[in-house]
Amino acid sequence: MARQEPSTPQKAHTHSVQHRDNELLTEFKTFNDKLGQLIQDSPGKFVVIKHTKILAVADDYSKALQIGYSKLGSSEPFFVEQVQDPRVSERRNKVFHTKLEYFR
Amino acid sequence: MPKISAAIQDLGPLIKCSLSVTQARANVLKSEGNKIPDRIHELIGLVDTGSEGVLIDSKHVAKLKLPVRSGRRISTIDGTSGRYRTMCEIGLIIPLEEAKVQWDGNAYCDNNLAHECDFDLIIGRDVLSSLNLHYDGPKCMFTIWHDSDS
Repeated sequence: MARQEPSTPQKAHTHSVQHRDNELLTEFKTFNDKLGQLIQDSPGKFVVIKHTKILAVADDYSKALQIGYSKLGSSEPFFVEQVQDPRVSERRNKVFHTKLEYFR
Repeated sequence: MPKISAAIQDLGPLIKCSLSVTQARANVLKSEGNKIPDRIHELIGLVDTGSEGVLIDSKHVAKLKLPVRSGRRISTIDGTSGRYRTMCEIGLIIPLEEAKVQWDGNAYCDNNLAHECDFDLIIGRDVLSSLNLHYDGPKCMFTIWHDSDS
């Protein structure tokens, strides 16, 4: 039986996911390459990366998002990670959070 | 003091919560004239002090088109050490009695969580780091509360 080809939307979606995966790998590499310096300069802060470029280092997760969105808009993906020693991060109890905020 | 108390179920301390975009994403979508996706309500979350972070079923993340922000290899109790998970930007709303609180952060995504575990997400220590938790085993009750000044 012939293998069924996926429809065009599925192909587009698969392409999009793979593309983002590749971007993410690049951004991970950028993060890891610069992690030593980032730990020295900005421990505990949040870094915003697009491809191979560090766009910003922010004090908290929300500010990192705000900077990423202000530079790239809502549809362009970007990478956000906290700057910390990977050995410490395994034991940490606070990750990727903002202060809780009340709303109605 | 905003709090929630509930009975401990067979699966453990479960709370109903909602999923949304982060406040930062809502602001940018609004400023661009785009629709802000409706929140997903009535998600069942397991409060799990053994989990470092939030783990959420991917189908909910996909519904809101929440963006991938990172990824990490994690170890789980079933021995799947080093399994890679993407991390998406989420807004998690926890309904306390006097107010709702929203936590914005990166959450691990899982394709089969709701199917395998009968709940939609795990609420880990990253969310709990801003809350208080009292687990009353003898009374089979738990309470979560938030100090307004913390």
